[in-house]
Amino acid sequence: MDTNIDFVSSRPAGSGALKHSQTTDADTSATEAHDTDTPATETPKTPGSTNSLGADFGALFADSGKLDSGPTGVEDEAAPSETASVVQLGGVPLDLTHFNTDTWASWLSSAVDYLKGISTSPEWVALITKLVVFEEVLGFSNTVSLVQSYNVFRFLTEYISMGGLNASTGQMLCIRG
Amino acid sequence: MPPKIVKVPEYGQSWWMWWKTLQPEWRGMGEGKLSRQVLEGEKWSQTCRGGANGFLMIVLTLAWWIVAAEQNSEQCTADADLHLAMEDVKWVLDRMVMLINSEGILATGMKRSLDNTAALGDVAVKKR
Repeated sequence: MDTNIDFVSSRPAGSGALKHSQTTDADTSATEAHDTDTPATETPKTPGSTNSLGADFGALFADSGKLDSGPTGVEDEAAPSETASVVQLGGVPLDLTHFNTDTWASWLSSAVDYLKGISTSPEWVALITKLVVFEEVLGFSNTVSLVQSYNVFRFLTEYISMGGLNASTGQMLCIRG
Repeated sequence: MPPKIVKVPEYGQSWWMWWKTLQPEWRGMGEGKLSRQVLEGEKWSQTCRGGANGFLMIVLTLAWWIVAAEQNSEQCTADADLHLAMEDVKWVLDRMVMLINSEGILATGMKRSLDNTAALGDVAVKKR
């Protein structure tokens, strides 16, 4: 996910991802990712060939921020992934289905489809047409405003999270390109 | 699937009774055609309701009536009532659209307030 990559690249020095690139021992780095105070005696989980294989992989993937994470990295990156999402979107998921964007237009569309199939008589067609006009003037057939509202909301939360707007005072601090 | 309506004329009578309860008093509740002498300031408060639980319900029940009438063609004596119903519903829709356009009611404001209203059936029961 892009959010993970962005987060990893912006993680502060000393965090798990960066430590992976600073060692040639995969097992050691995995342990360090969890806790830098872990005693050295606990680092080699299994002695012998496993350890040497780990060292080889560690050498191969030393410059990679993702491949060397391994199973232990899954747990390590689970929380950052959520954090990255929050940082990027201010807690608002990108998934548009989070909001009721499918409410009015979809019900009216399906309803009209059903009603149009009832009869082809001119007076019935005129009635359905008038119903659609009625819903339109009331705003029930339109999702554009809702989507636009969502986009504005998303922009603002993202903008605040980037430090562009002081959420407590409402003061604009800067605009980043 | 529409409900199976066996007695189409009775359904039509019930529909007209329901429809009349949704009309302003000046339209008349008795027998015969409803008045179309619109009173000044009429807001059509019982019927000017959008959304899936709004005026669509009225049109939907008309649709059921049409389907039933086609399936029970021997009971076509109710056809006249059905055509009158369609015509009257469209007339009310026309009036409401004119009202909304003339008063420039903000769609969002109206929508928001109507979101909190009950379905038409409930409103009819609670009519003051």
